[in-house]
Amino acid sequence: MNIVRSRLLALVLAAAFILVGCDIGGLAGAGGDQIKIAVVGPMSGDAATYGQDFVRGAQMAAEKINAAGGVDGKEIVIEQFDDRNDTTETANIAQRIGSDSSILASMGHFTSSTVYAAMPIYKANGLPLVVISASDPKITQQGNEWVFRVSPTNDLGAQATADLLVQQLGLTRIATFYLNTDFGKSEHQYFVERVQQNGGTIVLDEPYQPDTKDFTSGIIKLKNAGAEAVYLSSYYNDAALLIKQAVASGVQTRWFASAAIISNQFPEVGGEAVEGVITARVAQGENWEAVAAEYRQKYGAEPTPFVIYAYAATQAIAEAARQGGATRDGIRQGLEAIENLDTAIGPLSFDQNRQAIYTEFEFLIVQDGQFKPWTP
Amino acid sequence: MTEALLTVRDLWKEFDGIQAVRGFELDLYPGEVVGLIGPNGAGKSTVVNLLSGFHRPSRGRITFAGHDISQARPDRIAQLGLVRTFQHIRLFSELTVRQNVEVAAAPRLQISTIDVALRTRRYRREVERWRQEVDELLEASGLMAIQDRPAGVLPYGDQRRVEIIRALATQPRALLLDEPAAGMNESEAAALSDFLEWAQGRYGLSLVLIEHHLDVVERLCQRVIVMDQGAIIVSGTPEEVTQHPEVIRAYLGEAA
Amino acid sequence: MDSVTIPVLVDQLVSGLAIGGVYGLVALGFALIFGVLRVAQFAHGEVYMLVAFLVLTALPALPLGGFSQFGLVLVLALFLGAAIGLAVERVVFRPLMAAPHIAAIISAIGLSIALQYLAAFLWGAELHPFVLNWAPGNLTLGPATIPAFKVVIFVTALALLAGLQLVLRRTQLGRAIRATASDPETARLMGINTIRIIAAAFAVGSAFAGAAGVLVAALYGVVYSSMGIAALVKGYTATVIGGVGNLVGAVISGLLLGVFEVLLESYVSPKWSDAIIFALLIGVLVLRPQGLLGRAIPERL
Ligand SMILES: Nc1ncnc2c1ncn2[C@@H]1O[C@H](COP(=O)(O)OP(=O)(O)OP(=O)(O)O)[C@@H](O)[C@H]1O
Ligand SMILES: [Mg+2]
Repeated sequence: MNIVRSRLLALVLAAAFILVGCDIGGLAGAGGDQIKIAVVGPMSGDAATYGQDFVRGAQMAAEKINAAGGVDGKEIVIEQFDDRNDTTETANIAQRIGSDSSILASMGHFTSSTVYAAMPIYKANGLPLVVISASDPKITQQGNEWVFRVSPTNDLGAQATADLLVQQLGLTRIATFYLNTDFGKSEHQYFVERVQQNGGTIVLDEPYQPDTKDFTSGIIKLKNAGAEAVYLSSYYNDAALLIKQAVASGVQTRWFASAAIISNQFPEVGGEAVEGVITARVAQGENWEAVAAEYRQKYGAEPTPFVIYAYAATQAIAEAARQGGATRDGIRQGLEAIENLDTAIGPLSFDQNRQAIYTEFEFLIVQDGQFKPWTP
Repeated sequence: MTEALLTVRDLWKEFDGIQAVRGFELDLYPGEVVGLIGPNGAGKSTVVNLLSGFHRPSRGRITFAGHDISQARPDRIAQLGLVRTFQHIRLFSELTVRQNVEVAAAPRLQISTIDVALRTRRYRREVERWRQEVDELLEASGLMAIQDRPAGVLPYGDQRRVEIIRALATQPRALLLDEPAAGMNESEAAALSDFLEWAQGRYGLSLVLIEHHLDVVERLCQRVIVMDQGAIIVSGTPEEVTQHPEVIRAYLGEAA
Repeated sequence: MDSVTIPVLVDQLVSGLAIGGVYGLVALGFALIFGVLRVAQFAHGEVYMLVAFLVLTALPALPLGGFSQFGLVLVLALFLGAAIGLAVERVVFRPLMAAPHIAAIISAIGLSIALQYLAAFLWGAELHPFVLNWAPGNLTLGPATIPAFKVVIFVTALALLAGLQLVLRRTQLGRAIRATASDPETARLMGINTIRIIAAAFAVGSAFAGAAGVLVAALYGVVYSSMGIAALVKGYTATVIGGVGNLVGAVISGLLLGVFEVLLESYVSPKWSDAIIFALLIGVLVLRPQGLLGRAIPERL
C-alpha cells in the first residue's frame, strides 16, 4: 500500500515537475548560452535503475557547477535519452543525439555491447562520448579518438580477485559463471587467464544468457564440479538469483563476483544466501564519499558507482569545455588534455587510449545485507 | 387439421452469385416425417443450415411453433425444440458415448445449486429421471454395450447413432437429420430405420430426413420433397415421387 | 563435455519435472480457456504474474511457520487467480463474444501489456525477492541429493492437475466444460450454457496460473513484472505440442518440455535452448498443427 501511495505521489510530483520544468526551460532557452550534455542509458526496463543513476549523478554535478557560475558563464544542461539497453535502439538514439547540434557531448550507454554499437556513430558525427560503466578493456583500444572512459575496466578487478583467490586464499579449484555478453565474456576471460597463470584450475566454465532467471542446469553442474570457490562475471540480479538458487539447492562454497554486483538490489534480492559474497572494486577516496553522501541525503538510498562515474564525467566535460572551448571538437581536445583533474573519483588522468587511470583496489564483503570493506 | 409445427415460405439463399436455395417451401406437421432428396449440390444441407440458424436466409420466412425464427441464432432455435444433426459428424469426441448423451440431457434437469449441494429429494428424483432417459436412449439405439467408450474412437456408423441420440436427449419437437445413414451398409441402414421409427413413435417427433438411401426414405417418410439446383422439382408420397419422370431424369437416372 | 553421472541425471530429471509441472499448470489453464473460448488468452501469463505479486504483498500478513504458510499461500494463489480470471473474462472477453476473434486476441495482447505496466507501476520494475518461511532442505534419492522443494512443486502440480481431471471427468460441470472445449457451437446447440462454462474455465484456468505463479516465485526466489511472458511462451508451446484442445496432452507436454529444457541447457547450450524450443514450436505449428500428441486443431491460435 505504501508503495502504491509513494508511486502516486511520485506521479503527481513528476507532473508538477514537468509543468515547472517547461517554464524554466522556456526562460533558459530565451536567455542563455548552454552546454548541453546527453546522458544515455536504459531509462526503462530491467536495467532502468542504472540509467536513473546516470542521470542523477550527471544532474548533481551539473547543479554544483552551475551554482558556481557554470563554464565561463554557460550553463550545463543534462538531457536524458533511453537506449533501452538494446543495441538496435542504441544505434537509433546515438544517431539522434549525434545529429542534434545543440548537444556538445554525450555520456553513458550502459553495457559494452551498446557502447560498441554506438561508438562508430559518435565518431561519424564528431561528438565526444564519455563511457561511465561499460567495462570491456577493448573499448578504448579501438583507436576511436572520440571515445573516453572514466570508469575502470573489468580486467583490473577480475585480475585482483584472481590473485586474491589463488595466491592469498589458496583456493585453486574454481568454478566460473559468466553472462554471455561482451561484458561477461571479456571479464571472465581476464579472470580465467589470471587464475591459470597463478596455477589454479577452472573446474567449471558456464555461460548463461541475459535475463536468465532459472540457473538450474548450471547449478547441477556446480554441485558436481568439486569447486572450492565460484567466481561470477555477472550483474547484481543474475548473481543474486544464481547464488540464492544454488544455496537453496544445497551448494556450499565461497562466492566471489565482479564489481558489477555492487548495488542495494544485490543483498535485497539475494537475501541470506548472499551473505559473505566478496567483490573487488577500485578504491574510493574522499571525493567519492562526499558525492555518495550527497546522494544519500538527496535520494535516501545508497548510490551505485555509476552515480559517481557520471558525476566525474560531467566534471571532466565541463573542464574540457573550459580548456578547449564549448564546441564538440573543443571538448574532445580538452578531455585529451586533462591531467590530474580533481573529480568525484579522485585525481583523473587519461592514458594514451583515453582510458582513466586506476591503481588502487579494495575488497568488499556482504554482511548483514550490506557491502562492507574486507581485508583478506 | 392441426396446425403445422414448422412452416417455410419462399426461402432463398445466395452464396456469392450461386443461388443455393430458390423458393423452398415446407409445412411440417407434428409427428410427420418428410424426406428431402436430390442430387449432390441440390441445396439440401443448405436448407437444414437455414432452418437451424447456421445460415441467414437471403429471403423468406421460417416459423417454428409460432415463433418467427428466420433471423434467430442456432442455440435459440435449438431451445425452441428444432434440433439438427450434421452431415459431417460433430461429437464431443473425448467424452464417452454415455457422457455425450448425458451432457445434452443435463440442461433440462430441474435442480438448483442448493439441490446439488444438499442432495435434496428433488435432486435425487431428477437425477434418477435423467439416468433413466439416457438409459432408454442407449438401450433403444443399441449403444448400451459401448456406453463407456470415447465417442471419438467409434466406427462411423456408431458415431452417427450417438449423434442422433444426443440430439434426441435434448427432447426436440422436430429433428433435422442430414444424411444419418451416410456411409452405412444395408443392414446398418435398416437398423437405423428401426431406431428412428421407434424414436419417432416414442417421442411423437416430426422429422426432416435428408437421405441418399432410398429404402430408408421409402420406409419412414409420409412425404418426400425432391430438390434440384436449389429448387423443389416434385413433392408427394414416396411412390408418386419415385415414379415421376422428372425425378427419374434429374436424380434417380443419375444415381441408378 | 562433462561426464553424465547418475546423481547428475537424477537431479536434472527432478528439476525438469518440477519446472515442467509448472509449465503443465500454465498450459492446462491456457488450453482450458482456449478450448471453450477458441481465443488465445494472451494475458494468461499476467494473471500468473499478478497473483505472484499479490501474494508477495500479502506475505508479511501471513507470518505462519513452515508448511502451513506454503499451504495457505497456495490456496490464496488459487483464489486470487480465479478472481482475476473471472474479472478478465467479464470485463475483456465477454463483451467481445460476438466480435471477430481477432478483436478478442488483440484485446488480450493489449491487456497483457497493460497489466505489465500496471505491475511495474505499483511494485516497481526491478526484481523482488520472494521467500517463504518454509525451507524443506534436501532429499537423498539413492546416490543423488536433490532439493526437496522441487519434489514438492512437482507433487503439488500433479495433485492440482489430478484434481482437475477428477472434476472434469466426474462432475456434470466438468463434462460440460469438456463438451464445450470439444465443440463450443454444438455444445450451445445441446442447451449447454456456454457463457457459464467459459466463466468457469476462466476461473479454473486462471486459478492454476496463480498457483503456477507462486510456485515459480518460490522456486526462483523472485517476482518481477515481466515474468508472465516466459510463462506464457512455455505454456503456449506446451499447449501446441500437446495438441490444442487436448488437456491431458498439454500437461504431458508441459512436463516433457521442462525436462527437455533442462537437458538442452545442460548438454547442448543454455544459449540455444530457447531457440531450439522455439524452432520446435514453429515446426509443430507448420508440420503437425494438431500437435504431437493431439487430434485435429479446431482453429488456428
Ligand atoms: N457456405 C457456403 N458458401 C458457398 N457456397 C456454398 C456454401 N454451402 C453450400 N454452398 C453451395 O451451395 C450449393 C448447395 O450445397 P448443399 O451443401 O446444400 O448441397 P446438398 O444438396 O446438401 O449436397 P450433398 O448431397 O452433396 O450434401 C452447392 O453449390 C454448394 O457449393
Ligand atoms: Mg448436404
